[in-house]
Amino acid sequence: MIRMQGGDETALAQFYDRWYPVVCGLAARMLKSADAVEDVVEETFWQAWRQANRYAPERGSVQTWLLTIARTRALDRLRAARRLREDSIDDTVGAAGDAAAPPVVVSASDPSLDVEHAERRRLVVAALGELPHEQREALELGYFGGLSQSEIAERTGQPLGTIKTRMRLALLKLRDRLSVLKEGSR
Amino acid sequence: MTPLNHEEAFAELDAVAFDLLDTVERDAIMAHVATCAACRAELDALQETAADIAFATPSTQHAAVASRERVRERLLARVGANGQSRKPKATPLVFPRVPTSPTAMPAMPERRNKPWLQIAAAALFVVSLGLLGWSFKNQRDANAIRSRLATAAATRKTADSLATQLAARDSLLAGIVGRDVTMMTLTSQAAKDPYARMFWDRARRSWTMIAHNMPALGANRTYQLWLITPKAKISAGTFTVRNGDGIVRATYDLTEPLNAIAVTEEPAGGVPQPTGSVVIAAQTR
Repeated sequence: MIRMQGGDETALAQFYDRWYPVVCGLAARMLKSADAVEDVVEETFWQAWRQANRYAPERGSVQTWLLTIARTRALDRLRAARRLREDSIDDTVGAAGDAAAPPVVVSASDPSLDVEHAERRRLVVAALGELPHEQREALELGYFGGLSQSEIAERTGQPLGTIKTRMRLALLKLRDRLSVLKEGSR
Repeated sequence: MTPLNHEEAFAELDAVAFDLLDTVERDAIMAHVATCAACRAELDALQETAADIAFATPSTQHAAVASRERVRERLLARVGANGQSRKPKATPLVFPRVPTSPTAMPAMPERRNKPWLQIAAAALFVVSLGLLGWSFKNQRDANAIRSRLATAAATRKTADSLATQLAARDSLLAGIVGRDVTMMTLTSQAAKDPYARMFWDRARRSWTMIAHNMPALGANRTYQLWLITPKAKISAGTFTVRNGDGIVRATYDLTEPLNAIAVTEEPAGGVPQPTGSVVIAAQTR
């Protein structure tokens, strides 16, 4: 990050190689079109490059910063597509419902990074798998589908307060479950 | 809009972390967050957890090498182009315009009676042919330049890729053979004699453990590395093995004395505190 902040293009290339699999995986999960996925990946790293100086380590890890950018860009695309009626919420929900699909790990240039990302992926998938179905559903509809809590309530036929509670509980459980990960990477 | 109180804002932090609110709602909550350290810390933690969820996504065919390289090339080209000063505009090729408007044409009835007009037309034709040939040559030159640029881009991509690999290996080597790296060997009493070497780079707070001859794990099981201090057993990550070999890397600023290192077998995903039997361990004090 420091080298990127200094304008080192080589650092950007390394940053891209390291984080591409996760960013691409997230974009692919949220969007249907391969072109849209590529655009979101490019825009994410472009924004990371342009705004590297805005990254504040005290506010969170690089991965949190980058993946927040990636998800925001994907949400922009998703919502724009919805507005244009080029995409349907039904399709989005369908895409968000296959979290249990086995991950296909893309080879990165550094085998140890493969290991690190694979471990993190295993832990997160396991943590999500331990959530009650209704909590996981609410979480995934919001996170991957970009549905608001009201839209989730409407879609699942549950009161808004119930959805808020489910998401809250799910996040707290995830945070607790993933704390072991934070200890290891801090 | 009435400012939100702490309870109202706190209740909506999940939605902020998930970016599920419209601008007005979000701004109202963020106005409170800007003045509330507790909400700020909670939001940071929620965003950290939300970002972790991205790791649950399976990589798809989108992640094919061609796509990866294509985006990489576009990104780096964009960065390169952005770094340049404004490019001079290319001088447009100007072809002699053949008049098409009747008002621009000489009076037709006198055409046959004006031999100079035929000469001028013939001259214009010859000039046009010459310009056409010149433009074809330019096109060939442009193609050649494009080809050279593509070759240069490919070479640069290869160089970047090699540099990336070298940097990654340098990083790994630095974590193992650095001047300040302490090495500890973890052993066991088992028949297959699993063992591991832990490289602790205090300056970089980097921990790299490479294990060998590790027993195969059962389904939904993982190995978990622990740093044991007088006060706590700290997880330093989980790992699986392939043909008995495994590696785990972590960055952790250990502020307490290190008593021992141990690897236990645990449920997939790891556990907050060790529950399984110790597979390999090393005393450090």
